[in-house]
Amino acid sequence: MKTLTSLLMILAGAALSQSPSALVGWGRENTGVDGPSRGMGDAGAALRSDRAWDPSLTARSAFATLTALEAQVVPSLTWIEDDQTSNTIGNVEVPRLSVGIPLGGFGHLGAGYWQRFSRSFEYSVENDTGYSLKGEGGAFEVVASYAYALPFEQVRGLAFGASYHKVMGRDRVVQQYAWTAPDEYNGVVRKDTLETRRDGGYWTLSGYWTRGAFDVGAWTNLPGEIELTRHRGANDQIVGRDSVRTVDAPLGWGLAGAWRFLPKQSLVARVAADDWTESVQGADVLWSFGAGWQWKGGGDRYDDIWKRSAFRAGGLGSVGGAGDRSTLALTCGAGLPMGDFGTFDVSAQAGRTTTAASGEELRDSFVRLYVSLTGANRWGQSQRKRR
Amino acid sequence: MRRPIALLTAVLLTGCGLTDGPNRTGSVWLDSLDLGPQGLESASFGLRALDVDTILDPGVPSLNGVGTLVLGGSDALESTTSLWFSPSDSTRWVRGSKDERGTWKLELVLDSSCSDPDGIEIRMWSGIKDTLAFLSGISMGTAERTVSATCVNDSASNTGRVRASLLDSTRVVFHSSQDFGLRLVAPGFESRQIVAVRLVDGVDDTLHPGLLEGRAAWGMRWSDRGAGSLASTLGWGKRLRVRLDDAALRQALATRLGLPSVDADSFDNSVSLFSARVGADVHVRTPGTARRFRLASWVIRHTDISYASIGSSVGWSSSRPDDGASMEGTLVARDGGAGTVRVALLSGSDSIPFLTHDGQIQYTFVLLPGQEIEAPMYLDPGWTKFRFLLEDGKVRFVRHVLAAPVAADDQIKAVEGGVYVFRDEAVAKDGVARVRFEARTAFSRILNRGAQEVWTDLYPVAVQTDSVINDNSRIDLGSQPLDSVTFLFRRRITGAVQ
Repeated sequence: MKTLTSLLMILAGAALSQSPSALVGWGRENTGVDGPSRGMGDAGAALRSDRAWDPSLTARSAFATLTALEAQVVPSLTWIEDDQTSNTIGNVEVPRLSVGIPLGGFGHLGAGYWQRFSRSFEYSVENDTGYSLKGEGGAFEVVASYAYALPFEQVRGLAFGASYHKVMGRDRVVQQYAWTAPDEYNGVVRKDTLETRRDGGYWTLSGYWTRGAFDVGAWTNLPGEIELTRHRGANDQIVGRDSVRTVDAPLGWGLAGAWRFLPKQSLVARVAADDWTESVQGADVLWSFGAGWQWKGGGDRYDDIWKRSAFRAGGLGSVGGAGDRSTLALTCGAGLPMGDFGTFDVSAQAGRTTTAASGEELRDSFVRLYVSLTGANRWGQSQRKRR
Repeated sequence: MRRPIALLTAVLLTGCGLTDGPNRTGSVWLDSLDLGPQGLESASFGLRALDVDTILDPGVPSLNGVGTLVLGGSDALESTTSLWFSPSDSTRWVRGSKDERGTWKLELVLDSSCSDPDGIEIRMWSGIKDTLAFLSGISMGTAERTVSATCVNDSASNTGRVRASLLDSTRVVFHSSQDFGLRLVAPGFESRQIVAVRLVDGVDDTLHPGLLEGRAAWGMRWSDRGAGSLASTLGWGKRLRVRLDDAALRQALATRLGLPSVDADSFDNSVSLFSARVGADVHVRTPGTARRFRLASWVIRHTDISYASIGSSVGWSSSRPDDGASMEGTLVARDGGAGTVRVALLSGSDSIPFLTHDGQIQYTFVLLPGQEIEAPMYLDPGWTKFRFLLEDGKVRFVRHVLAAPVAADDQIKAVEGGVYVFRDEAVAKDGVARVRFEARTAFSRILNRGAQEVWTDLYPVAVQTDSVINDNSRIDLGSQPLDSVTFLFRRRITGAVQ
């Protein structure tokens, strides 16, 4: 409990802001991959694991043998640049919480919270202390999944999964002007808010095949709808009624693969496309890709920790989507075994996101440190059997 | 587990240390998306009033013996002061001799000296049957006797005294012990408060006004006199209710900003007003008087109307669905005689209190035929305005449910020693015939009005923090009381946030 309290205090005390590029589309998007994948260019969705759960490629979890609870925290530094100025800001987010429960021969149940979009940012003007523009909140997904590996020998290693993504959450953009006339004692504060609530959902179907040194998975989103409720607010005027419209959920698909080419080493890759054209006005298809490498040690708890750890490296990129964004980043990470607690994965991602909406560029060079705690154990089995 | 926590802490603290502070990067990019800060712009527009009405200040009429007893009027207001005497009531006599030989005189003591001693007329009726109607100012037909009076200043006490000889009439009524009433009409007499009233004869006999319902039997009635004038007197005030040409103003702003016009029935949120200085030509008629002005506005969400016939009660209710506010009760309309009605509002078994113009609390009031009043409540929930009109033998009870509360901008330039100092250009005084007062809240609503009705009132208020303006002023504003407005505004962001 002390540990949890300490963690919450650290999170509460950290700065919660991001680049103004979070204004574009539904905000800055976080991928929902697991902790180990963060060090492999977000590309480890297909790498067979005894504990990992992916909100898109849920079929992989059919082969998970451990009950796992994962929490990710991401402190980050971002250097924001445009053609005239630059600034450094810090931020902390919790992009993902998940739990996976293997049901033996009955498949696998998974659930997770995915803070997919963040509108968090702050902006003020150097020569006008009365002005501020900030964003807060974001859209998140609550995902529930089921995966099942076919029990037939002829198709051994083949699994299918389905997940429902409940999209919800709200974000708010607040613009504030404060002004005092030279001949007035009391000033004026004008505050405008634009709040967007999202409510909807979509299904994702996935398939996964693992055989020998190869793991391959694919997923696709089924058409879904998301209701957007827009509320304007102003402290000096009356605004119209909330506007409600329905947009399509982003229709996406993806492929991921892994090759365990040596006993301790693997190569992974991932490519995905999310079609935002029917979800966000003026947006394109977002193509994202990544590739990575992992060296994973073994042995028991009496071996040196470094021999039992995992080391990872990779790269990722994306192009398109809302606001004509492009991202390129290099990643590295390590996974440290923590005995009965599970694993502690630390991954660093360094790269740049360029948002070129309307022709002007805003460049966000970032260093993110994904800290992931995965508690894993065999529920329902005796201590002797676990050993 | 301690090691990861320590590592995480170190990373977070490092991040905090490397942060530059408030982000100020992204201006060019935000501007390109029309999401950046908008500059402060200035523009002046002429103003056209579609409708200008002069109305009495809100407040229910005082009951007899309540509030301020006033003699006189102004260019904008006319008062009728009614006094009722009951010679048969021994408690109102000092000696009670009813001396028929004496020359009875009416004596009034005023609170200050008179600037114009003439123009006071006293009318007398005897045998009044309906005292309440008489004190409410209902016409009694031709007076039995009319005499003129003058005011004499008492330099020692700096007060004015009015003495009028009533001659033979009083002898007759005293002899028969008939009740009688006096009406004081002095439209050209600058209003003064009456602090004492009595009838005296030459041998120390004195009769005070009678009693009605346990209160002194005097009453005031104020009526409109002269459109286009504002006034604030001891007893009541008059203000302008203006409906400006909001469509023309919205169009002018849109043209100035190059924005598409907003539909007439939509809210216009295209600009934020930081200042709206309104020009008005004024003429202060009272020498040495300084006045500032307010343009107050409120937005009507919807209006509920109930009717009650005289002598009946009717249930009523109003609500504001936006925030769940609601109130309900019973409207009681009792016959007050001579066509008048006594109005009361009940909520459960409690009477709802009203405020008179000079701040007295009353639970009932008298409404005359054809009279329409706005009735602020002591327990005003802040989201309704009441109006009462007596027409065709029915009380029309109108409840305006407000979408936004009444608001007016102050004109404070500084606070010195706890006292407000008001903006010089907003104060009208001797030699200053033009004021420019701040009215940003009103104009923000006028521009924003959408399908909802915006009421805008223009009225004078004291320069200092007096709750009552203790003198008389007059302002001629003509048919276009506000000739121009200068806005300082910023365009609201229009960039698309998906």
